[in-house]
Amino acid sequence: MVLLDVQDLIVHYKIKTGWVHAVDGVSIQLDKGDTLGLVGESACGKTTLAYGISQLLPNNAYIKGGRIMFDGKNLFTLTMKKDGRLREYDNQLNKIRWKQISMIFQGAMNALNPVHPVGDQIVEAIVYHEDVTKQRARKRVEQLYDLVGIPKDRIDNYPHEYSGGMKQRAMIAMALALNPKLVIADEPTTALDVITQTKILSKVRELQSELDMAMIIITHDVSVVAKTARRIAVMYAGQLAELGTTKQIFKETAHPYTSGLLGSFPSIKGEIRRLVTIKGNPPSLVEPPPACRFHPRCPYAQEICKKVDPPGLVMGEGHISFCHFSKDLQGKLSPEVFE
Amino acid sequence: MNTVSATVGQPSMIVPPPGGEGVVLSVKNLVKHFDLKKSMFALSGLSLTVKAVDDVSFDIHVGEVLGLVGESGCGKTTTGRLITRLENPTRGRIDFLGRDIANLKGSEMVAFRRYIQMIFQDPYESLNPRFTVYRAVADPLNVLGIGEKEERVDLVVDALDEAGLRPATELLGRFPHELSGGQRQRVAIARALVVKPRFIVADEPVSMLDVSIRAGVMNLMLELRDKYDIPFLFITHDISVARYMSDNIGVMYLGRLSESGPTEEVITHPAHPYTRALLAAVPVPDPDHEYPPIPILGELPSPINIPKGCRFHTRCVFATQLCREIEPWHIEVSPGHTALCHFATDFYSMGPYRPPPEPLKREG
Repeated sequence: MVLLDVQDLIVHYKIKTGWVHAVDGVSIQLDKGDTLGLVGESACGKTTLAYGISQLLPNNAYIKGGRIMFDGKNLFTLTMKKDGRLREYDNQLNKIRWKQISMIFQGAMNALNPVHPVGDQIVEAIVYHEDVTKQRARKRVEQLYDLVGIPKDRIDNYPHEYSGGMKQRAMIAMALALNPKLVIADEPTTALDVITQTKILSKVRELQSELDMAMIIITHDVSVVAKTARRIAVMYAGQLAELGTTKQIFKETAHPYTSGLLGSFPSIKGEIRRLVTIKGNPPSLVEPPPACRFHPRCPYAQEICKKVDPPGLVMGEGHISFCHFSKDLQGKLSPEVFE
Repeated sequence: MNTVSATVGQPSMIVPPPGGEGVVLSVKNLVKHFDLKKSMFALSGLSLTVKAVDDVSFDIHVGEVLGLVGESGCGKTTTGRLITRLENPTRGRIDFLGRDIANLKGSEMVAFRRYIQMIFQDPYESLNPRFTVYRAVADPLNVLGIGEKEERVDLVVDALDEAGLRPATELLGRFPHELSGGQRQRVAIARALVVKPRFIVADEPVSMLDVSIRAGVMNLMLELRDKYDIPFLFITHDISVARYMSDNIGVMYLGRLSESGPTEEVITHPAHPYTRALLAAVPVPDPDHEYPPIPILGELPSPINIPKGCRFHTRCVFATQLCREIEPWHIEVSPGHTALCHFATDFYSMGPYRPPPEPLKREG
């Protein structure tokens, strides 16, 4: 059953020199209990897309088109002002935010208030959204601590008494406190050491299937989504490049950008192969390249790529690739051509 | 490349020509303690010491890349800063090209600076935003008094070219904000190269870069190593990156080198339980990869209160009474491969932790 349905979403930021085309016509669906990995380099629009879904866009973001249906409700009819910006405070929205859609932010260190005990901060979030007593909320925090693997006697400690990994676990506990239907995790483990990172990702995965939440994991690291996501959306310059199951993206790659991205990651496993570099730099989103946005960096680019927007070609069940030549390239893509 | 005429004296420093063989840098029993007494604990009268680097020894040969890995707070960055003498060691020797540089001062220090260069993690912070590319790269030449003015332009252009910034002449007048992250890091590399160093310390040089650009910077460093035989100390938290870059690898834990040896040897036959835990946890870009349970307990202890005996025993699932009481010494499990564990030979003989599917060889 579809929980989240994003249709042709367009979000632009207004800046001094013009408009930043951060998200330009992106459509994704997410079923109940499913996990989607949103992968791409910095400034590819992945964070804007996620913040659009959780309705946390900054004041200079304008929704220029598309809609987001969450659990059958059109989120923008609730929250959008006439000019396309989001209301800063909205009662309707507050009911959805955190209770239905919660977030795990990247810098757990900065997301907790340093002058209150960590447990109190989670209790406060619960009491604000639900009609429960502080005692009952605290009971729930104890259960949450069990769930995320922090000893219960640490509930009354202050953030500075927690290690980085524990703070991130506490943030996960807070995100789960109201049994949300969707959790959006923005680079949830980037700032953490590898052992803590892998332990937390395993925990997140375990909880996600146990509690049957849907989840969107935003990351630049393909090994993180390989471990945690069932489906992957690869974004490039504000648009989708490829969408499919994790297996399809890794093993049946159909978009040259995906191939280059996967080829630029070193691995501890298998033979050492020369890592590829995608020539050039990610484009400016103020003036993105016309037609296929990847064409200036693509070794397979032809005339058509500079003139015609690539259609979403269906490559397999639930597998879509936005490249004119996907049908020819699938199975033949090799990162070496980027050299 | 042009030869550099140095106007700063190279007093007692004997610098052999690049190339050849042998040890370039030899670190012996290096120690760095940071005293906290003087700062935050002054009032309480407590004397606390952070043992950031605690008896570390290793050698780096001509043309070798040593990858130094470990979690944050393990002392890998401090080790790099001691070698470049951005920090003064508490004890120990740093023999660079046959001379102890651990206590250099004054003009000798200035002369030495030229031969060991550093590349920092964040190219957004390591370049002065008000300096043009030319000024940033020429700055070390000015400071060290290398070359005449006209000559410096050539040296800068050569260095930028070496760092893959082509055409270099077009970039000379640009400011850092006009460059992408990858270009900035290449400018930082050019700045290190311009003085023709004999050794480079690179501290997390690619962790701030976007993935599609990261590989290019890593390949550039490997090419420079191949071309000029410059040895690198490559500091990183990412073992996959360290594997790609390094001939030898050193794993640090709480200020000590817990395991070191040839990269593939350490990765396939880890002899220290900490290395085994790290390897189990490394994320792999393969959806079919099965993660083994990570054999490690609890969290990293504070470097102020280092556990007695083996400093890893509080987290080691195999720890015995021996480990809790007696500090282990380096045991050589195979040529050049040592581990700081009482049971290193047992772990080593357990064989490959995760056997690679195919024989390993470096390509390209």
